[in-house]
Amino acid sequence: MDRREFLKKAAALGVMAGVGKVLTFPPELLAMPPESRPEPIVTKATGTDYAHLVTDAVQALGGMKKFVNPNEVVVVKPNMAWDRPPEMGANTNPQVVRQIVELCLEAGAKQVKVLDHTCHDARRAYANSGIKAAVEDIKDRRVSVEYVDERKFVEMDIPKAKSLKRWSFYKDILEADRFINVPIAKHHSEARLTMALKNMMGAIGGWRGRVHVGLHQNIADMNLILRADLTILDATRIMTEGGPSGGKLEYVQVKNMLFAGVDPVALDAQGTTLFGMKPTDIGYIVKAHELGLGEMDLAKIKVLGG
Amino acid sequence: MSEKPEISHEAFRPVPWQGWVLARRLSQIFFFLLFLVLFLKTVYVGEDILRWPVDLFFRFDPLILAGHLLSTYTLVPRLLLGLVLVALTFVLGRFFCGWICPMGTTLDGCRRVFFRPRPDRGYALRLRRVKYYLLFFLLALALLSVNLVGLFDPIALLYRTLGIVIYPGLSYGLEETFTKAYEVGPPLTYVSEPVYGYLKDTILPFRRPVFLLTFFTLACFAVIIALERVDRRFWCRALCPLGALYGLAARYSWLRRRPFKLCRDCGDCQVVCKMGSIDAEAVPNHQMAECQVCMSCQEACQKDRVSFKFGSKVARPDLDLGRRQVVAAVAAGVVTAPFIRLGSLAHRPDEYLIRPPGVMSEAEFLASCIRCGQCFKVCPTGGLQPVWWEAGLDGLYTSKLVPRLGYCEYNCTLCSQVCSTGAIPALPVDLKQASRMGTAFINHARCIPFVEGRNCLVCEEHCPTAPKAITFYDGEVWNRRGEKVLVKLPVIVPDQCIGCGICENKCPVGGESAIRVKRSLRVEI
Repeated sequence: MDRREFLKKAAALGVMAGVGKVLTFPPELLAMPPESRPEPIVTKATGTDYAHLVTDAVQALGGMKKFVNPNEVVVVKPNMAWDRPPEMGANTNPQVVRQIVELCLEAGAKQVKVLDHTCHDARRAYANSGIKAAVEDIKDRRVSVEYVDERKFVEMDIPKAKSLKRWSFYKDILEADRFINVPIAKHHSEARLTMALKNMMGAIGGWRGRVHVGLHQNIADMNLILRADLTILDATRIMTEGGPSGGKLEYVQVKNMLFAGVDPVALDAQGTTLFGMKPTDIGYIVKAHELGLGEMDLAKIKVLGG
Repeated sequence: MSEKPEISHEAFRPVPWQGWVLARRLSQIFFFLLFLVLFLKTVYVGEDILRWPVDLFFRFDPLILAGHLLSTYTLVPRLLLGLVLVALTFVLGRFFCGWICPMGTTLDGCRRVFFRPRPDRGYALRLRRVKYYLLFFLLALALLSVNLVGLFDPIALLYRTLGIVIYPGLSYGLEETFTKAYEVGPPLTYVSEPVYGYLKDTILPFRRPVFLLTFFTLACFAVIIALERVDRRFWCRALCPLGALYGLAARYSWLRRRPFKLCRDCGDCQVVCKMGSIDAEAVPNHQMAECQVCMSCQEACQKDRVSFKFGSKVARPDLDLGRRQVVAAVAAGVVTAPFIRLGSLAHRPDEYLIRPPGVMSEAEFLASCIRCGQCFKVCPTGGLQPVWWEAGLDGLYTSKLVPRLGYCEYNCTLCSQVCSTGAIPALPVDLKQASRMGTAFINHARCIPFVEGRNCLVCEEHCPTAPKAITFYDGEVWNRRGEKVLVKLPVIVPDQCIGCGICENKCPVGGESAIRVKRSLRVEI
């Protein structure tokens, strides 16, 4: 190959690569569920066998097969942002996450990714939350616990947003066929509580500290883009003070409860009752309701199971 | 010698890979790779305790031992391994320099890659006493608690150059390349992404390291490499204080080279020797204090006259350092120490100089830190950074926490585990969490709730202590429209604050953080 030929071939390859990029990743290609208003149904399960709680709560919604079809790519997003062990209640219960992944596999998922954009060092948070070990223990090639890859944040406009008009979101979550949000219910000083809606902080990139100024509207706004197919609220342990990272067992109450649903606002509204609060106490619940993201009136939310 | 023997023109070229030279080069490669592997293993991999003895090269470093012993009068048991090498040097000579030292291997390698083989110019030969003077100078300084051996120790020098410049540079280049490929997208990524994934799992860092002092560090290293062009192993022959230390022992080495004198009909080995250990002026000519037993002369000798054998009654050449010069070197150290100390900020360090966790006394830390840079490498957040002059002249390359670059992970004790001398004390995690690096304070002129009248509390959210060292109260401030609003205002609880700097790191205010960690009033001044 002489130089001229090499340059020609390199140029051709470059053009092909450019075309390939346009063909395979148009930014509009989001795989989020439609913006229809979900039914305000919350299922509840109580008990000490945490894997069982997941199965029961999801079964009451119609089973995992209703949410995950065969050969689909699923992203499971627990809260594993903190370098804290499970008993501190700062991260989602590892047994809960593991069982959700198992159910996805049973439903025939092609690939299940578990990930979170952490606050502490990701390696430490993944390891000490116990979630990495619990999920990898399934030993299935379809399952992966992945660290966030900074290259994969894509900026998006949020057309209906009131404050967060444009922000960067994690591509794998946007592109996944199914997105399952698995927050833990806990205390948070500025937001007062963090549950389903606020857990989306771990699905965005950018300078996240800045999102905390005007936090409530921003949380509601990012949920316009990040619409989970299924949300499972872990209340096996809840943190009642010192949140979101806690660090003392005195801050933790063992509730042995778990909620599931499609409407994240209804789940968060229901979650406030765990802490003796009302949905209207939490700014982002009100703002998310105003944006049409779900139901916050406890009287209108149907709770199944117990 | 009256007649100059004819030196074969090609003798300065490297000896072929054969016999003992082959063995020695394989040993060099092995220890160099071991050095790199230990470097790469100096990292968090999901376990709180490092399994690998990553600081092995420093434990076997008698110069570090000597400096530490003289400056602190405390014996760190694991550093005693250095004595093993000193004992072996009495038997085998400076084999460390020729067979093990990763710095020596780096120099040999760089010379082969960058420079054309050619005869030495002879500067290193003339300057070979300098390394002894440097050694005495450093040890005299150490005796007066100014322990700077780490600045010149070849292992520390190589490690920190690798850690601060070469590894970050290499990973930056690779990461950028694969990121560009990623942005181009398929079909290029079908090839590039698996390769990237593999590299990420093996040699690439978890997060891109960024360090201060990169240019200065690189410049120092470049000078040492460039000196290879003047004379082979210039650093080892003229400057290296560890080589000097080994040289003092190697003088009495049991192993000796035959013949002791230059042959009358051939002077090739004088040229072959990259250490200049065969000196026409010395009696006898071959000096074990300079020889690194590289075996090149044995393999190169066309008449098979050269051999290395144990024991001999033949007198050893004098190590003529000159009494006057030795006294001058020691005196220079003794005189310099107070000058460094007088100007030292050790008495009143820069208020933003945050030392690694567990360091209680600035003076003790300065005396025992070997400036190796292992703590920079292992710090999972990249917060530990090399110090320039902010700790005084003798603080160069000691470590400090720069919270805007990375904070101290609450549950992490890795920096203390890699610290060979215990300059960063090895504390159990609960004691480490209770030890105070500094105290945070809020700059009310920058803090968002105070300035903008809007809630923020990112610092409070991340504060790792329980109960939190940052709390808040509802207070009235004027917002930007001139209205009085009720917002959550953060307050520091100094008794709780350990100065980990996560608040400073995560503060959403751009540029200088609105919350900063200062040396605590509770830390000694």
